[in-house]
Amino acid sequence: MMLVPKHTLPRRTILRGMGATIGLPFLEAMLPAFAARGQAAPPVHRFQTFYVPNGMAMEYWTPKGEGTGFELSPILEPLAPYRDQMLVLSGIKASWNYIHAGASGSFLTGTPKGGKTEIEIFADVSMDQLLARHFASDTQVASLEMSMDAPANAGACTGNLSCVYTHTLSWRSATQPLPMEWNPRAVFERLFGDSGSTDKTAREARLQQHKSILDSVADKLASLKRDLGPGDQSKVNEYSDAIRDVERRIARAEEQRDVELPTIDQPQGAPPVFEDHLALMLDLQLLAFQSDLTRVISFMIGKEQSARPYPQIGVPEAHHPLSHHNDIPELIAQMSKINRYHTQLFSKYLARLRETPDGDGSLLDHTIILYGAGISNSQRHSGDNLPLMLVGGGSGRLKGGRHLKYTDKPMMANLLVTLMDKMDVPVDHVGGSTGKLPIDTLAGI
Amino acid sequence: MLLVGGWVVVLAPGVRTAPSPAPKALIDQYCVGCHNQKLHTAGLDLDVLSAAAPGDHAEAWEKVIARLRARSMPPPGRPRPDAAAYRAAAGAIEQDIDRAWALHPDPGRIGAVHRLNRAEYSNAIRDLFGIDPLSLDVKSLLPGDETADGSFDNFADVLSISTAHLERYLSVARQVTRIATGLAPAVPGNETFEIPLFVNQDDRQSEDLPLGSRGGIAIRHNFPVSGEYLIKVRLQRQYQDYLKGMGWPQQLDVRLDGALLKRFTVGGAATGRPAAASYAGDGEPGFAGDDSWEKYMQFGGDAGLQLRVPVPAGLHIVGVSFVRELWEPEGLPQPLQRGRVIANDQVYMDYANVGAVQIGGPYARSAAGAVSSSRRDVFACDSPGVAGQRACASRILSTTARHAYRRPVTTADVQTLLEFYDSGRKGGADFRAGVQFALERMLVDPEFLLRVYRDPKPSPGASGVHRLTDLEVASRLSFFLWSSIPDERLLSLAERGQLTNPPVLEKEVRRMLADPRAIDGLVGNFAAQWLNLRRVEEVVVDPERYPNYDLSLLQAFQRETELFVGSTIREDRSVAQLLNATYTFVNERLARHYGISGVYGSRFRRVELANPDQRGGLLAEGALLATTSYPDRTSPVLRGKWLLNNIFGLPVPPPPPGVDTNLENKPGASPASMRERLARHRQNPSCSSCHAVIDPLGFALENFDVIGGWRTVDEAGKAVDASGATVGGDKVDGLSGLRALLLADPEQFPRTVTEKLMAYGLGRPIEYSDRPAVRKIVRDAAANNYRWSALVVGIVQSPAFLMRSMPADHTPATVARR
Repeated sequence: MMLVPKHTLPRRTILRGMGATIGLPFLEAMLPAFAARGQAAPPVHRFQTFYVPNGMAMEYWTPKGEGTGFELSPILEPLAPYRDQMLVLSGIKASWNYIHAGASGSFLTGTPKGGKTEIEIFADVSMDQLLARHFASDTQVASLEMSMDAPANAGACTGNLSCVYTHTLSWRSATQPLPMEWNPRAVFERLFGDSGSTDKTAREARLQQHKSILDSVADKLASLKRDLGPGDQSKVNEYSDAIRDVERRIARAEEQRDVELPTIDQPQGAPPVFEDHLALMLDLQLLAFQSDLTRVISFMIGKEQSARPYPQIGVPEAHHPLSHHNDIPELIAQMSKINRYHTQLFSKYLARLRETPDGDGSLLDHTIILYGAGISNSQRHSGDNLPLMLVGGGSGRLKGGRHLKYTDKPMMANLLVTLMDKMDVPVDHVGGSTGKLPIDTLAGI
Repeated sequence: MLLVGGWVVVLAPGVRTAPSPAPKALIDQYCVGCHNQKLHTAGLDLDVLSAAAPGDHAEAWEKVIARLRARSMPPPGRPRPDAAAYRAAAGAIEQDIDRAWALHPDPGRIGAVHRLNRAEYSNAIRDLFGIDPLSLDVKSLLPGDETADGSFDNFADVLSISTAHLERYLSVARQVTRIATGLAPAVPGNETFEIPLFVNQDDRQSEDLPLGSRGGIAIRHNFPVSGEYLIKVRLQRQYQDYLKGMGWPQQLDVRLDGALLKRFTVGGAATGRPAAASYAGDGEPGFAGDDSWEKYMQFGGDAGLQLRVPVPAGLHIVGVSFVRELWEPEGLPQPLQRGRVIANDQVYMDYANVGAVQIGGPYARSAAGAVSSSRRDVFACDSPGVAGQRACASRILSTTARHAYRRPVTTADVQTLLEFYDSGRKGGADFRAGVQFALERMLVDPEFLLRVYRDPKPSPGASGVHRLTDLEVASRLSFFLWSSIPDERLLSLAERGQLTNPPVLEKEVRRMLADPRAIDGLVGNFAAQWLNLRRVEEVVVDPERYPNYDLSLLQAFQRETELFVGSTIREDRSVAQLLNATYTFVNERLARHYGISGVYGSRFRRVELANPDQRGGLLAEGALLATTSYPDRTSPVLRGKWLLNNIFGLPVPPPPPGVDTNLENKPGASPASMRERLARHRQNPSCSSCHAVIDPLGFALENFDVIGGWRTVDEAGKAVDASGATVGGDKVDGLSGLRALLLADPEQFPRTVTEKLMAYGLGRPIEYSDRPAVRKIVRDAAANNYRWSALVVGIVQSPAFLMRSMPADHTPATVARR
């Protein structure tokens, strides 16, 4: 026995009324359907952070020239096909410059400083979480935090500060760092629950089961409520509200059922080979965007202070020790190979984003990706002139194909505020920001 | 005799309604000078109250009683009565209030909808389906439970039901019922069990690992079906991602239920030139080790530590441990590195440690796909045909529903569940799949997840209280003593309406207290919250000042207090023994820490304590001492406050806003002793009114450092002075002095325990109107020397446990309107 819940409107009702749209109120529950059809609705924004650790071989990163006439550097060269959707930013300063902790600890939080000892864990709410709170009403998963490195360490990792700073970019509050998921299986379960596969029938079967359970429970609650006095009904109301909320998400999930998703079975764990593991993680990120399960992803291709070696590209040295190259040119060149490898892998990911249709364009058109590191010169853990770039169309808000050089050393927190504004979630500050960054035009460029 | 809503109340003959003369004289002399209508100090007008019936102003009088018992009023500097006068006045006022209360006991009103918390949900699953909580950690799958500040996580009004809860309940219901019915999981499972970094792995880790083993972990895992499973071991790395202990070969064993599956050799196989000893090298080319060395140290060392084994369905223990080989470091002694980064050369020759164990599968199902024995009984069905199977399902579901819903089952209940059974069998799925889906529906039902208290239909002339039904009492009782659903005996007694018959009720309480579930529930949930045990693992200690600290020591603290409190409950000792027992439970690590000699091995065992001035009772146990300290120094204020709130039962308010509580030594000044730093507490009158009460109690424990070790010199290098005097003038010297103070009035500590236990048992905070009940319970328990059972029986038989107040608007008219 299947009751049709009265609190979600079947799509057919809306479609039938399209010809004569008087009298139908605009309901928030229908918004995703509109967005997917590219109707005159507010643009969908997506934000992704793609973080690389241990600084950058800046000599191989910084493009020659400014404005639209810049030359792609060796590290940026693999991104040539995306030049017109790329904004390289030079001259921005880290919000908190303190060895490795400040690098990742302030990248998205904009905090001017963190804790002082191993046991003081303190930063600020990160920008991705501020966005997630806003987008959560439209997506089933508020945000995803992922990393290629397991948070295996406790205690102090860098400059006597807690390892927590180097293992994550995202902070739910000033004192609550969010763990980054490194196990593809856990990410899969978060996105697709326990149905075991993205296969349509499996997912749909599970949704139907949930619906029938909830319908039946809602009936029971109604009769329970009748037994209680008005002063006692509030908890039952909480329960009913929760049921309505879950039914709303199920309805949203049903609308997305028609989206063709590649069939992926639930991964078993993390593959041992780096490239296989990375491919799986990026598959899941693409899937998450494609199915609109989330619109905010924060990803670290390595924890800050990562010691991963890359023998497969001829760099057998551990990354972090290599990053302390003492300014020796051969060692800098060696490290730049790692940096270039990262952008190559990134470029392949961008290709898939560009190939995936979304509304009236591609996923890449409606996404802003912040790529970069929290340290520039790794030998000195320098926080000046961070290697940063924005990639993607930003739903029309980003004007790519330029290299912007800021001479007044703005702090990165100001970039974060500016980005939030561009995604229609204005805030008056992120971390210790002092204002917005001019990004659309810069001195005649 | 007066029949009041079914509860018989006996009018005590010759009752006085006016206050006793003794307190009035004392109050007029010492209190009314500030607390009068004109000055209205602290909102207390004792001149007016003195003349009124105490029962009418119980709330205000209870506050007065508290001040009199603590002797915290009048404030220091004012004329005060002597100790005997304080006691007499407090006692007389209590008597008056208690007499008034006996006429109209106020049972309070528990919230009508009381959600099961995580622990209760997990135990309910255990009792319904026989799933060992150690094999499936249901608690970790559910959102955390809210607690109102300083109370318990089973308070009705605080436990909310959010969307997150519902989503998790749906997901957990599916997982649990699939395991219960022996259905193969949709995909091969894969669980990782991590060992926290600061657990010390130099010793045998658990009773489930063999003697002669070192480190590692024993995992109780539920294997859902027979099949092939993968066990994979990952070793611990230091912060530079180099494996620890790779400098010499060690043997790593993997066992299943104690039988050795495979023995690996790890370490000792690095080839080529090693990396520089310090982490970053000097930047010269070649500072990194040879490729082969780097590869081994980062990946090779624990590559291939895995095996595939056939495992039969059911609960098994997977044990991963090293073979113990003792060694002593040679050369110059190095300082122990705990919190700081561990450099390459310091761990190369150290012990390798297990970082995590992964269990995945089944990858290949065995032909049998056998269900484990505990489930075979419940969910088997012998009938072959469809109708026969449906009848089986009906039988199984109604039996389970009766326990899950904690009441007799109706046809409507079974009907609903059978519809889900039918739905689960669609598409030709087998019998178990149908039962599974129906059980899934059952576990999300409000009648499982919630305890609901219904008001009876109002009738004209009824009193403001009503009795709870026997079924409501059965649930309340089992969740109180067992943190779980009622068992068969309790349920049948309640169904027959016999449970609340007083001798039957008392017999059931004693039966339940003797059941091991009572120790689990009362220690694991009640004592764990009351005594801060859940916070022990979160304690942060400065590793430079206390290099002896690691997580294994903290875990030992927790275990010690759990075993100690458990022993007093199991042996039905007086609750006063919690303070003055002369024994405790230690393993070798803890014994060394406490300075107890002759204890070897990692197993916990009872020891008699030789020196009661240094150890004995809760106040000298590491769990308490560590959770009331800062990472780098002790805090008499934190300890004093905790003692007042939880042991003395005389809570103090927080400091007024805007007060600077920073006590750091000024740079350049010579370090001051704790007493000197807290001098401001005594000098400033607005501080001293509370701190004169708090500080002396905390100072009495100053011989115990941040991690509960005995000391005679504090952090500033000054000699410890654990003596003092309370605001009431009693001398308190060290641990024994504190103990003596607490036990001077034999009713004081039992009252505190009763209050805490009652709040936990009722699921709501204790109000001023409950104090008379608490006092009565303790008075009655004196004859039994304040044993646990006496207090518990008293609580269960009190009006607050068996009755409930009606809401103010509970009239036939308002009820009819609904």
